[in-house]
Amino acid sequence: MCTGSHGWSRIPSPGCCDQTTNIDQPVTRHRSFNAPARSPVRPLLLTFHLAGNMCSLPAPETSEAVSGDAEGEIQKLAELVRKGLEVVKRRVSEEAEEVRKYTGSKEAKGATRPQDNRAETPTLEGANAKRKSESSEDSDAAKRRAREDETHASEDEATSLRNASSGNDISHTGNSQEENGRPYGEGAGEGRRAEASVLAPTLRQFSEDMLPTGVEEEVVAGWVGQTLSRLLGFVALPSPPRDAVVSANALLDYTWQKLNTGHWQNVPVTWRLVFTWGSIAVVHLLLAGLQWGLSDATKALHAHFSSAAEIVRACDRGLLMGAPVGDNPLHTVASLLNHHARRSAQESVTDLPSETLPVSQQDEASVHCPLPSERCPPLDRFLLKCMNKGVPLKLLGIADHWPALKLWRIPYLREIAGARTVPVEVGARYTDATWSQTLLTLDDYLTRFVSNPAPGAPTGYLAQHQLLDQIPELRDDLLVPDYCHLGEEEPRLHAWIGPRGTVSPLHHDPDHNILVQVVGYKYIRLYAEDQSSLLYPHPDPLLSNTSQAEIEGPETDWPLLQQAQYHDLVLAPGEAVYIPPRYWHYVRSLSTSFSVSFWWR
Amino acid sequence: MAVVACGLNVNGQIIPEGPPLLCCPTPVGTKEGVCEVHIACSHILWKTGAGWKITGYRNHDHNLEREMKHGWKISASEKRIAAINNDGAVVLREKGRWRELYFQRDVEDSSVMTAVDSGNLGPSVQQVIDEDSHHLAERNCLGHHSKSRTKFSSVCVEDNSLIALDEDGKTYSSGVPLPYGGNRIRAVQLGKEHCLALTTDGVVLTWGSGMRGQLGNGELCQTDRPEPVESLQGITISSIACGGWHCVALSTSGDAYAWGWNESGQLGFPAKENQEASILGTFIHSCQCPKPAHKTNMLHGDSKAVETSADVQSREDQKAYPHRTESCKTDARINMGRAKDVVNVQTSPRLLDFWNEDMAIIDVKCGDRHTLYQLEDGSVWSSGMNKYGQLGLGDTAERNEPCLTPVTGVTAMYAGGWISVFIGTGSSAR
Repeated sequence: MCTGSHGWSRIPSPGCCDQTTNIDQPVTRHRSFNAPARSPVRPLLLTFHLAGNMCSLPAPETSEAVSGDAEGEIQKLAELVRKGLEVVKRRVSEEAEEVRKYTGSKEAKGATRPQDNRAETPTLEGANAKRKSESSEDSDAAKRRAREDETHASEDEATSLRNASSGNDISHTGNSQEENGRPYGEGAGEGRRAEASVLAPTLRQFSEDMLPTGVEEEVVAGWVGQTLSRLLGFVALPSPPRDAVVSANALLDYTWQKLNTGHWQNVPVTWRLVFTWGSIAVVHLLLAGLQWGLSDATKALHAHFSSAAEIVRACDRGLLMGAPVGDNPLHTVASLLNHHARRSAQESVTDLPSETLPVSQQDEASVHCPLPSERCPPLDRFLLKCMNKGVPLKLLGIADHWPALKLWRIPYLREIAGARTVPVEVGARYTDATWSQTLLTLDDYLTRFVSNPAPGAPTGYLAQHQLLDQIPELRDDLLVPDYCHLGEEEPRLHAWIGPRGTVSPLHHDPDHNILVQVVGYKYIRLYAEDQSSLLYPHPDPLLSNTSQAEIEGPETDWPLLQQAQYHDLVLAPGEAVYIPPRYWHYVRSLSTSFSVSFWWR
Repeated sequence: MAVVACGLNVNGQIIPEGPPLLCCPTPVGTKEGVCEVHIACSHILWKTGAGWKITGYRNHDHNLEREMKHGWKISASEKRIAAINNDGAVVLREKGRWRELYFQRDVEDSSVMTAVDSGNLGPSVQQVIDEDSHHLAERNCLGHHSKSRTKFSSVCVEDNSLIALDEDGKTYSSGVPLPYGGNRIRAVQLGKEHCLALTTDGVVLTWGSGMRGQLGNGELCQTDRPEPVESLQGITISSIACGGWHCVALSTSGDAYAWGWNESGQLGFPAKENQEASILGTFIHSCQCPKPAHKTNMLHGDSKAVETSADVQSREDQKAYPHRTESCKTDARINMGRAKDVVNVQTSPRLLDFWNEDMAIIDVKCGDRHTLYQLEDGSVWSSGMNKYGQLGLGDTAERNEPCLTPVTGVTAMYAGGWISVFIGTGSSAR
C-alpha cells in the first residue's frame, strides 16, 4: 500500500521539494515553507516520529481490584495476543522457509516439512533440539556459500563462525528463559502451552545469514542486515532477549533516517521492506511484552489497553511507511487488537448520538448542467462511449450490492478500525498556505472532525488514503466495479472520509477514475480538458494540474471561468461518477461523506 | 585524562556487555590516551596512543585495527571508512577492502574534480570505474591524474558521498558535485544529503539538498554548486558542524548559528506545537547506567567537589526546565526571554540564544539528530533527539532547548549517529 506511484495522481510529482516540511507545522515563517503542498499523501508517511518521547499514556495510579469483569477482559485480550503472536510467528517462519528455498542453499537434513515435524513428539526439548540442528545447518550452509564466493571467502567464514556461536546462544537463551518463565494466568498459560506444542516444532528460525525476500543484501549489508536477521530470529524463541527492544528501535530509527535521505521516490525499496520487517519484529516484541504483562495481576487493566494501542500504532507505522509484504501480519495484529486499543483512549469513546442518525444532505448545491446518467451500462458500451472517448458519465446502480452501503456508519468504522492511525489533511484546501497534514487515530478523527467539530476549527479530511489496503476488512464490504478492470493494471482504491464542507479544488488526474458515494452527498463539477485555458491552471509546474480559481467563489474574481462549459451533479449514496483522465473536477461535500475512488490506467 | 560517553550501546559501542543504551555519560573502559574519536551508528573508532581501536559492531573487520596506521586522518560512516594515508593519498574502505581513490577532471567542466570511485551512489558521477579498470581513469585524465601530485590533508565520508581536501584548500568529491571556485577550503562536513564547507577567510559554503533547510539560503531546494550562506556574511566563522540534516556554525566571537531540520529539537528550538505530534512512543526506559560514586566527576581527575548524581540531577533540572520548575532559582546564564515559537525547518541561520553572553561557545558537534555545545568553562550543553540517551542527561526525553549535561572539564567532544563522547583532562575550570 501507499507504494510506488500510488497516491500521486491528485497532484503531480513534487520535483525537488519534499513536503515533509509542511507537516506538523502550520506555523511557518519562511516564504518557501508556505509553498502550497505538492504531494499530500506520500511525504506524510515520513512524518511518523519514531523518536517520540516515551509511552505517553501513564497507567492510572490506583490498581483497581481485579474484578470478575477485568479478569474476563484480560483473558480475552490474552487470547487475542496469543493469536497475534501465532500469526507473526507463522509468517516469519514462512518467510524463513521461503528464503531458504529461494537461496537454494539448503534443502538438507534439517529442513524437514511441517507435516514431518508434527509427527515428532511435540515437546519443548524437541523444539529446542530442532532449533539447534537448524543453527548448525545454517552455519554449514554459510560455509558452503563461503567456499563458492571466492573473493569474500574469509569474511563469510567469519560470518558463519559467528552464526554458529550465536545460534548456540539463542538456543541457550531460549532454554533458560523458558525455565524461568512464569505461568501467565490460567487461560494464557494454556494458550501458551498449546502454542509451544503446536507451533514451535514447525517454526523455521530466521538465521543470521538470511534476509527477507526483496531485501537486497548489497544495500543493507552490515549492521542493519545483521540486526534485522537477529530480530526475526528471535521470533521463533519463546522469549526474546531484553535488549531486543532497543535493537529493534535502533533498526527502525536508522531505516527511518534512510527513508528521509534523498527524495522519497529514490529511496531503494529495500529500506521500505526493512521498515516493514523491522516493524513486524517490533510488533512481535511488543506482543511478547504484553503477553508477559498480562500475567502481572498488579497491573491495571488500562496499562494493558495502552500496550495494545502501542502495538496497533506500531502496526500502522509499518503499514504506512513500509513496502507491501504478502500476507502481512501487521494487518491481522492491528485488527485483532483494535477493540482493546480503543479503550486506552483517555476519554472513553462512546458513539455520539448523532453518529447513529441517517445522513441527510445538509448543504445546498444547485445543479445547472446535469451530467447525463445511465443505469449499469454494459461494459462494451462504457468502453466505447466513455473510456475511449474521454466522456464522463454518472453511473447508477453499480454499487447496489455493496454491504458498505448499509454497514458504513461511524459506529461501524470505529468498531472495525477506531484505534488505527490515519493521515488527515487539515485546512480548507490543499492549495492553502495553512494546509497541513497530521496523523490521528480514526476515533480521534471522527470525533474531532466529523461528528463533533469545534466551531471555527479547520476542516479535517481523510482524503486520498489507501485505507482499504491498510484495513482489508473494509475492503470486503465493497465490490470493485467491472469497469475498473478495463485497464491494464489493477485499480487502486482510495477512501475519502470527511465532514460536510470538504473541498477538493478544481484539478485533474492522469488516470481513469470512478468515484462511488457510499454515505452522504457530494457536489461535483466537471470541465473538459479543452476548457483548460479558461480555468486558471496554477503557474507552478508542480501544481499545474490544479486550478487557482475558486469554483463557487465570486464570479467577478475569475471572469474567464464563467465562460467555461461544464457539467455538474450531486452524488447520493450508491451513485457513482466516471471521470476520464485529465478531466477537470471540483468536489465539495454537502454532508458527512464517505466515498471510495477507483483509479486505473 | 578521562573519557565518558552516552547513547546507543546495543552493540557494545560504549561499554561491552553494558545496557543497550546509556543515558548517563559513562566511563569508557580502558580508553586511556584517546586522542581522536570517530562515531558511526553501530561502532566507534578510537585513536589511542597505541593505535586504532574499534568498539561495537564489527563487520568482517577483524584486521581493521592493524590495517589503519597511526598517522592516518580518517572519517567513518556506518558502512565506509575513508582516510588520508601517510603518503597523503585518499584511501577508502568499503565491503571489507581498502582501495585508493583517484580524482580526475570532469570532461565537461574542467573546474570540477570528480572521484573515480566505484562506490558512488550520487547522480553526478561521470563514470563508475572499478579497481581493475583504473587504466581507464588514467587514460581519461591525460596526466591530470592526482596520484603523484596531490597531497590530501583531510577527508570526510558518508555512506553515499565523500569529499577530500588537498593541502592547497581545494576539494575533491564523489557523490556530490563540487567545483573548485577559487576559495581555499579549510574544512568540510557532510550531512546525509548536503555538504558544508568553511573557507580560510571564514565564509560558509553549502550545497546539495536543502529540502529541510540545510543550505541556510532561505529556500527548500537543491543546489549543485557551493554557495556562500548569505545571511552569515560579515560574520567570521571559525568552525562548522553538520548533523544528518542540520548545520551549526560557530563564529570567532563565540556565537553559534543553527539551521536545517529541527524535527527532534536538534537546533535548540521548540520543534512541535504539542507533544502528541509525535504519536509513536516506543519503549519505556529506566536508567540502567553503571553508577560509580564519582561518576559525574570523571573528568575532574581529582577528588575535589565530589557531587552526588542527585545533586547534579537537581541542578540540571533547574537549568533544563527553568520555566517549568516554579521553585527553581533563576539561572543568569539562561536566556529567559528566548523565543518559544515552533520551528520545524529553519531555512536560514538563526542565532542560538540559549546562552546569554559572557561565556563563549568554543566547540559544536552534531550527531545525526542531536547537537552538543561546549562552553569555554568546559561545560557541555545538548539538545535534540535523546531516544538512546545521547544527550547525556540521565533520561531519554527529547530536548528542544539546550540543557546542561553533567560532564565538566571537557577538552574535546565528539558526536555521531546517536552517540556522544566527551574527553577531559585533570584540570577542571569549574
